[in-house]
Amino acid sequence: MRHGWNPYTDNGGSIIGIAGDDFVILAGDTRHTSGYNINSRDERKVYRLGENSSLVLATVGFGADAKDLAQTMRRAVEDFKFQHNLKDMTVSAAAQFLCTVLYGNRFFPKYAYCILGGLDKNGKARLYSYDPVGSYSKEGESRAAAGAASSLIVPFLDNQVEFKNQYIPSSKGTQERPVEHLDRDTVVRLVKDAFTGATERHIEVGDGLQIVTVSAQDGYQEEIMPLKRD
Amino acid sequence: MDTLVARYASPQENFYSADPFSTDDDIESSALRPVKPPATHTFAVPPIPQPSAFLRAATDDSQNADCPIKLAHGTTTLAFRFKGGIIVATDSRATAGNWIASQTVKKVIEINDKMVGTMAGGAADCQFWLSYLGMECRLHELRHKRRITVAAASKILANIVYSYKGMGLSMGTMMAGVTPTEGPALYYIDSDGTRLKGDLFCVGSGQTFAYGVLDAEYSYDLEVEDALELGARSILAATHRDAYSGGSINLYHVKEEGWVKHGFRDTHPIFWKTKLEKGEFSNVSTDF
Amino acid sequence: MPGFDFSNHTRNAALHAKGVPLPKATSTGTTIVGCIFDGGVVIAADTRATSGPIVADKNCEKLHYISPQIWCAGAGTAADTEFTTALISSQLELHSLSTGRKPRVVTCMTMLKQHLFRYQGHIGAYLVVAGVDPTGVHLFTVHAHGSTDKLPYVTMGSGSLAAMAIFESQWKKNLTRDEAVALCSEAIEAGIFNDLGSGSNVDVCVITEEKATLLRNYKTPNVRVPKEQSYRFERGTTAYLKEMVVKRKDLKQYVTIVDLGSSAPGPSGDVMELDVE
Repeated sequence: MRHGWNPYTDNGGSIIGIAGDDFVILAGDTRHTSGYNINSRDERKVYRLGENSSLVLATVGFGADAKDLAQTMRRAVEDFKFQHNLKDMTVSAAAQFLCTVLYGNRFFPKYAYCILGGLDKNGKARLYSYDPVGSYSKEGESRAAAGAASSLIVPFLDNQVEFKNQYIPSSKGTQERPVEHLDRDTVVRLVKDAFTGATERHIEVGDGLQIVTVSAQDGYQEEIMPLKRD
Repeated sequence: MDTLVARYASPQENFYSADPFSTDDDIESSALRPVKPPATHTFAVPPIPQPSAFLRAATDDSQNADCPIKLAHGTTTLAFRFKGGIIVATDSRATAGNWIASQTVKKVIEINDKMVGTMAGGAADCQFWLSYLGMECRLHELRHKRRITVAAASKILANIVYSYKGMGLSMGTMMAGVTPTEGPALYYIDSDGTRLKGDLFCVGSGQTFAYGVLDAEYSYDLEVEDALELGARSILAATHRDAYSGGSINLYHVKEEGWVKHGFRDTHPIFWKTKLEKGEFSNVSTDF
Repeated sequence: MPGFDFSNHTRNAALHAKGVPLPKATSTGTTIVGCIFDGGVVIAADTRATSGPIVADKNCEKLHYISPQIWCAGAGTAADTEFTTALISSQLELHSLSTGRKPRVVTCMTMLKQHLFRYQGHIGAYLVVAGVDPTGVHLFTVHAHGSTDKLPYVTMGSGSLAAMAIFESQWKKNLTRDEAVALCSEAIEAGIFNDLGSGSNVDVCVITEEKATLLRNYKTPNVRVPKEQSYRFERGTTAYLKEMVVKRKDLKQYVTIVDLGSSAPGPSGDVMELDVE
């Protein structure tokens, strides 16, 4: 059935999240498009929620809905402190809250794919990814990607973060390579290669890469690096 | 149904913000003040005459393969009653259109430590409403000083889902629990409003494959190990033939004392083990 | 002339009505330009070929040979531009042999428009035709439905607006060869960076009274940065069910080898290096 009214636009772009042991890295390209046009070469998709909390949210899809979700979450994290005697909102509480916010729009979905990351009260990394109406895994994930180039990036991460389809060479295909946490430098390299690869083959990905790291030792850090602009 | 929901379609911050009984005028009445869920749920609804048609055009990939928003769906779940309680088994794959969104989804949702629900159809719908149901079950316990029966819990869920009939929810869920009054009880509830009590159900895109194995070998007098093995083997059959099922096999055994989780095991090595040790799946060749 | 085989058309239409998505033809997205200068004409193109939002080819050739001094840039459906230009190139060579004269750009343009009009726009070829013939220097555009324009500077493709913005700011009459090449190259770069359907490198072709010069990859402003790490896998990482090793001396069982001998000219093709034992 043809609809005359369309409140959504796909603004392209991609986001990625990888969790280590005590750090989590969320990244996103900074290109904002509609159709074949570039609206902006520097529109950030990774947001910090709360000044001193470890929570980071990346959103992609329809830019207006994605940004609105980030504002809602930011407000919720800040208000939580006022309402709960200056306690910080925990990662698992924020994760459940985002699920509820998204499901509240079940009949008029926010066209946005979210990835939420942070550190739990033991300083361990947690990463959650959502579909547009709030489906998420309470246990969290080790890696997530969303947006235009997600189908290019996820198989790469399956192989390089979860070691899928890799077997111990001497075992003749009987023993899978054991999964272990990656160190921070390796994760940053994977993120950069994932995005340079996605930029090569997807027209809606490029311009710049925003990498946000939250770790128990070094807190919040942000790095911006250029990507191909064609 | 659309006009009924449209009555409540005023811009709301989120699901929990509407408190029809609030008389506060001061600043603390912010949208995020923790309030109990009101008697009437409020969801954002598009401001057009036929919101359900919009939702179908935007998200329903059975009608419209090019829809912009692909929601995660989950498939192949089964549960059966036998003398030792109830066995619940599911796969763990979630798909969004033809994309595999996840291979590690928990499709058995623990409502409380004696009752479980399964997820098939829309992942978010099942997750949200089953955990909402868990809240209602706990409230029931507090009000009536007694554990809720599976019949009552399933009725609560069925009534909620029926009130959204036609709006586009997609759920095929089973509730399993063992209570002193009912014994082992198994109910099937879906988003059309169907609520059925039964001994054996398979739900999801791979249900027919699971029924094939389960119906052939089922008996009420199975021993616990055999019943667990049967549940797992039925899911394996479905993951083998259905493209939208796969990942791992999630097994639960629900008894009077509560449920017991029997593993979240990857189908890939189980498939090869079954083939090599039992000689099944002979259509899969290792010679070329 | 024997035409297209339309026997699948009804079936495809019925399937599409049932909801089966039509296969996406590779389109060139594209920015192509042409510009006349004092003494000849320059055409240029980007090198990205897309299939929906995915880049299918990062360095494809959009500048097609029609005759020694007539070249054509193509936008639209890649297969259509490829085959249409090859067909007209062949027809033009036969025509040129028949007339005993060098082929003219108007002839090429007329053959193209008559062919495309007959298919009512279903052949998705949008072309910039340029060349030098005994009557002079000419530059034309040809659209898929069969319309043509004769102009001193032209742009086509999804990046045509970005390229035309450069032309409209900087074009003037009586450009020199170097000025024209620089202008066209800048126009293509505007398309490469501002249009998502265009990208990678700039190809240029300069045609003068004397000859045509193809400058493949004239500019390469989009070289990929080296990867952060190597993704080489140790041998044995991938599990396999069965292994079959064919040694060179046993190749005869699987492949028929015919020795043509040194006297016959024989086919020459790419030489394959077999594993050395």
